[in-house]
Amino acid sequence: MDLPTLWFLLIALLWTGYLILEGFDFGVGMLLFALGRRPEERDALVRTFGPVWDGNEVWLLVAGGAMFAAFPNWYASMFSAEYLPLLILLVALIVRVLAIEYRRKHDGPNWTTRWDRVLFVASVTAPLMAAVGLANVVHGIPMDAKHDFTGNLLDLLNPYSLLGGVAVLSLFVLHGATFLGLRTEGTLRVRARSLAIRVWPVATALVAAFGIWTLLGASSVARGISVVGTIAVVLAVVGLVATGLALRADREPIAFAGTALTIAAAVVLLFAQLWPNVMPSTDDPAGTLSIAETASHHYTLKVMTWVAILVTPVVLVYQAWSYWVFRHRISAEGFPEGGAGAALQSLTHRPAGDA
Amino acid sequence: MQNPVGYRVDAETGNAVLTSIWAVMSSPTAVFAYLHTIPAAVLTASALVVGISVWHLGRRAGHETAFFRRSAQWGLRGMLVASLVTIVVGHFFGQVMTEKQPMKMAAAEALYDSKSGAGLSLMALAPFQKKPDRVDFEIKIPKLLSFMATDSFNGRVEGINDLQADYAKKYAPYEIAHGRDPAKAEYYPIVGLSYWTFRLMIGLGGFMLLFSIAGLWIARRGREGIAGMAARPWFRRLALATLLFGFAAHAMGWMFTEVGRQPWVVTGLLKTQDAVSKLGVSTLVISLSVFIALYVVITGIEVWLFARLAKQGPDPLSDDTPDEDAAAPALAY
Repeated sequence: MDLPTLWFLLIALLWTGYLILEGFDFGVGMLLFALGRRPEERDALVRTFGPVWDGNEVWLLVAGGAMFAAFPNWYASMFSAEYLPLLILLVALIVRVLAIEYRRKHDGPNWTTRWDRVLFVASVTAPLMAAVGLANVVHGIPMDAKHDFTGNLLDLLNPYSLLGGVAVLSLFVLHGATFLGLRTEGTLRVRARSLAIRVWPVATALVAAFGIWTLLGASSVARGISVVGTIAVVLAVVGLVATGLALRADREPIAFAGTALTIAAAVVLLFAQLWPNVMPSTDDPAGTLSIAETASHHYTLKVMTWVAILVTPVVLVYQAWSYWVFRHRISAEGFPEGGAGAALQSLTHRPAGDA
Repeated sequence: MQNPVGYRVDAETGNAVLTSIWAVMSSPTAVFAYLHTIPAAVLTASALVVGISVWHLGRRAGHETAFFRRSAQWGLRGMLVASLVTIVVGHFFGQVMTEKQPMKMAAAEALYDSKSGAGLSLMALAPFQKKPDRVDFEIKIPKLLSFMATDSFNGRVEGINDLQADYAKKYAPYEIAHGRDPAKAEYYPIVGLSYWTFRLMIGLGGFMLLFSIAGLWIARRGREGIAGMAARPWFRRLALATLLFGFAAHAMGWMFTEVGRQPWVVTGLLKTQDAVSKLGVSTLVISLSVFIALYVVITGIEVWLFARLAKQGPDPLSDDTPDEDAAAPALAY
């Protein structure tokens, strides 16, 4: 496999990691008021992703950085053409950080509730823009032969990308709810499950519709139905069915694994439809950008590959460690039976053989 | 981009291509910029600690005096070390830039004609133009600029006019390739802005060094040490002003380095005007307005939260050790 192909796959992998990880904290943000009726409940909900959300965002930075370094012309055309949606995405991400960081910095009346509203709005806006942006890359963007954007904002808000946006929102709500099934205790856990069961049909219908549309030819570049794409659609449906069954059988880990699988399959589908291009043009066909044309020189890709080989394991280890340290269930009513002291002790004096 | 290295320009596409990652990582401009910015950040943080500590010490006698005496002491030590490192590194950084980006440094000194034994201008006033044609008032120290830039009192320092003439020749093909008249090209930044941001950065940094020396001397020799001095309102205000100087010096340094490299976005390779994307004015106006509004609001909230936290003072020390009821690890959000 040549290096440009490797980096195309790695970028797909980085997007997969980002959307699975940040997907659930977006989802929890969207469910903040639906599940957290009292302020303490919302505190508990934010605490479920509190220690890990900024680590999750690193995946987006690396995905964007890798696109910039490995495929500079893809990055340049995509970020110029989708300037406004990506600006909204960036503002939503900035404001979301503020909401999470500031919500408990002051005890004044309504301070926390106001920031929680901001957190909700930003958690809806950010994934919507990210999904519209990615869907447009697959759908294609009006570009001239020099790869300059020839359209306007309305070209980006086409039915396909809007369906993608709504499908992703519903999928993230479901993903957030299955995540809460793993991370909460007591009332929140019960509520998250019953909400997941209610959201499941909507998410399944939207994701299936978006997947089939993508498979059958969302791209402006005419092509047959790809094998990888077909497998991805099947896997996405398998993931959702598994989640639906697991929710009814009260098997929380499987429910979460199901939504994670669906997100991964969706990214695979999008990148499979893109291959061997990185961004088709809907205006002048000569404007279509391919992997081969946009890839950086061999030396740059070689340096990137070495950096990735050396640094990625370290990042994966410390991120996994932070999930492990903060693995205990959280509830709005305080700590569960057995006490948190026991939980803390099990962290520090874990008997041998105890996983 | 200030001093591009480790690349070649691809003949076919005209794009710059990386040829050596080591050259990029070890570029003197990058290394010095890093070694200059990091201690400057420590300096700013130390001044923040000192300003808040002195303010508390003077506000109410006996209020956490021991705590704030120590924090002021450590803050002053931090300021002393950090300002010395920042200034020394800054000096050598300036010498590197004199070699790599002579126009930036010529503009920083508002030195128009190349000179041996050039004097260091401490302050100057001139008409409000991009490149003023006369100087109304100036204070200079003879020969010092030559010494700072070249380590010799009679060293030769290049001036704006001579560099402009050199560059007009050197970059004529670049202007022609971009369809412009080479005779009209200007290769210097806004002189007054470079000159004053450079001076304010150095002046504020130098003041912080003096403040830390004076503060440490007072802490050792003064009656009742730093707390006695903090009882005087003027000293308290000065300490609070010094707190702001760290941030101001940082801002001046950034403005100097980014204004000073104009008209290039990549020195010698790409002019800023040629690097602009084809997005259109309205798009850029929207995004710039959004960012300005967002950052003004964030700054307001941040300063307000900072001030509240600073006023509160330290949490009382508690003897409680974590017991069986201690919380499981969870960050407070």
